[in-house]
Amino acid sequence: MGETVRELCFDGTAEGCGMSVKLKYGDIALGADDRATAVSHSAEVFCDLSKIPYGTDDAYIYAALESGLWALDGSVKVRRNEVIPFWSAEISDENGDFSTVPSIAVTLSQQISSSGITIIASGDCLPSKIRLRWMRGAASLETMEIVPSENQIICNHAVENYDGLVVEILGTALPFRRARIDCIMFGINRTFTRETLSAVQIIQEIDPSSRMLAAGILDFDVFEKNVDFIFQRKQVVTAYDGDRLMGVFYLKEADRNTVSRYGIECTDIIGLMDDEPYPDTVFQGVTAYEAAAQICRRSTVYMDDGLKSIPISGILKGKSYRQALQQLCLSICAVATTWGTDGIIIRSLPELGDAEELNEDRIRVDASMKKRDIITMVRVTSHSYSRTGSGTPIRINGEDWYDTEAVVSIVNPDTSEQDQNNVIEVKDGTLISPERAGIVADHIMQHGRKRGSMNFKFRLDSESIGDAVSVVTPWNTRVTGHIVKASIVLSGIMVSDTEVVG
Amino acid sequence: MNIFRYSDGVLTSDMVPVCEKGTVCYDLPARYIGGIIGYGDEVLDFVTYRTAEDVQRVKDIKAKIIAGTATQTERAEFLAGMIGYYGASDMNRVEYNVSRIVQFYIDIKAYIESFSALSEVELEYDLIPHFNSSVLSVTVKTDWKMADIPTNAHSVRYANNAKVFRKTDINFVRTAVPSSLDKLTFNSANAIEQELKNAYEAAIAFRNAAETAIVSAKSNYIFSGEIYGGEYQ
Repeated sequence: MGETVRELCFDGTAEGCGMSVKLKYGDIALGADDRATAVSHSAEVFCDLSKIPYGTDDAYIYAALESGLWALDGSVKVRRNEVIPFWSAEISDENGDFSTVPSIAVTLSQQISSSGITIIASGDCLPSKIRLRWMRGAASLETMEIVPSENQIICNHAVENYDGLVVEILGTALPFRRARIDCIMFGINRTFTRETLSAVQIIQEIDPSSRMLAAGILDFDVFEKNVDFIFQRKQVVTAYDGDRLMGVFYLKEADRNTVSRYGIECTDIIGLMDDEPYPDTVFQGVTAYEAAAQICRRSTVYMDDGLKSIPISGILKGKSYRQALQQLCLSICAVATTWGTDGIIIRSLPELGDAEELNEDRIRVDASMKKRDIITMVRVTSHSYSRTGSGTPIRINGEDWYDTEAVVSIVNPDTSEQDQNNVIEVKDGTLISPERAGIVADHIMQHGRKRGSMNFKFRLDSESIGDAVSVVTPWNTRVTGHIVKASIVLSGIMVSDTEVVG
Repeated sequence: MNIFRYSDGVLTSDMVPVCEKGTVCYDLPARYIGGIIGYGDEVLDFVTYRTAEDVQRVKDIKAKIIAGTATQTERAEFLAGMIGYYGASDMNRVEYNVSRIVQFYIDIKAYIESFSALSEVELEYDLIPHFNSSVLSVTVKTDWKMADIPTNAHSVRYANNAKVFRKTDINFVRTAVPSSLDKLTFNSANAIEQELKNAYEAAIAFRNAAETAIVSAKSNYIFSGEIYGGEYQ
């Protein structure tokens, strides 16, 4: 799939290409930030050294009266209560030297290995030289000095099984400057571009009926001779089309095929949510947004406004976080995706009347059409939980709950007597309350009635998974539906192998 | 020698003017002799002429210092202080000037009122400052050092100080003084000092107008016994 297109851009020039693939890979020792404690005796009193392992998103230069720092170009902010990880209390002298070298000592609660260290020096305060000392207990394992040339200071040096790091700022590149360090990362953020990448593919999928929740996938190969990667599960890989964020993924598996070739498989946060069991929970009097925030606790939730206030009641027991999210989506008739975001988008699918027409010049070869079996009926079981009742109770946090079930059925009006019985049965939607059951059944039926499925390849622009599009078929008819699957080859032109159901 | 102590706010007998024909003479503090212009020498130069090129010049030299390609002259220029960035000397100058001009306004008001009273000249309404000196109450910090980090409170106070003279009835051309030093530009930095300069120069003009009016009125006084029969018609 997409071989021709990929080769065109990999071997050609960037001119005329609609996008350029870029993968930012956090080759960072997992969990090191949470295990790290930074201490310094040379920091300004307002510094918060606990932020050193995490850094700040704040790239501003803050006003101070050091020589030449406060540029009068409108870029310098006066500090209010912003978190400053580390500013040295002392200012360097005319030659950029300190009388007492500022240092930060980071201890780790357990040993880690990393392929390098990244230090982010703040704004206008480039150190002239930094000394790094890796520690194991009180013993110094290795020492290295770096002369930085930019604020992101990368030390490409793999060290294994250390539990401490001492960073000394030996001087500043400019005279009369504080040492300012925003972040010390136990690893290196690397950016892979088309020069080192091949076979980059993203697959995103949704189930419009909300009965399934697919995880996004990113696969790629890296060719790199000069770096020994320590690929670790759950390391972050962020995919970009030029500057456009395509998605955030987490390393699942890495194979070293040759000395210089690595094959990488990643999943998105939804895939990662499979790994952890969701605590047994009773939802009562919470909104869909509150429930989503609980379930997607490590991600920002971007939810359609129309969904946010839907009341959620029910029980989740013995589920993973991903299953919990799927249950929530089912009860509010929504889909969840990580397409083009750093969080999780929970949305309703748009009406088909608003479908975007894809022009023929964007549609490529390989279109095919198929008809799915007709669905004759949808049956949804609702669940109502109370503290009293009969049958086997469900024990949640020491409390017994009793489930009262009810069934709502909807028959497909498009069916005839000749149609084979094909019933969609939803029994285990434990967040589907009696008030929601009819809505959910109708929602499933609405999507079940869309039987046409078209697979085609088109040049992706601003479309997103779940969008309504109208596509001309090769036989000059038109299919209107939602994009339910996109398999994107990231190359010179972003081509999506797409499935539209309509 | 009689000392006219305006800051005391009390007129004492030693402040009785000594008048001679056609002139008005008082024993005044030295800074008032010859007008308040002498006093104005205590105001530091206002830097109102920063440009985008000045800002760029700082960036260029910094880049060269970091790259190790700056000449000795460029390095010396950087170390000597450049107007394309804001530093301790800028803040000290502005804060000092604010304090001096505040005192200048208070003194001018007292001076004109007292001069008018002592010379028994009733000045026109517009020639007398009517503001209450308490509106010019400001806090200043004039010991900024390179190691200091201005806070937001400092920044707001600093910018508000530059606008304090708007509370008086001495009119001057106002400028686009920012509400704080956050994201300060060269234009805003210029505006702060231009506002102070305008306020200061307006006060001088005000004082001169009042003084001229008093001197003019006194020189037209007819003193007792001066006119003889047939001389005045």
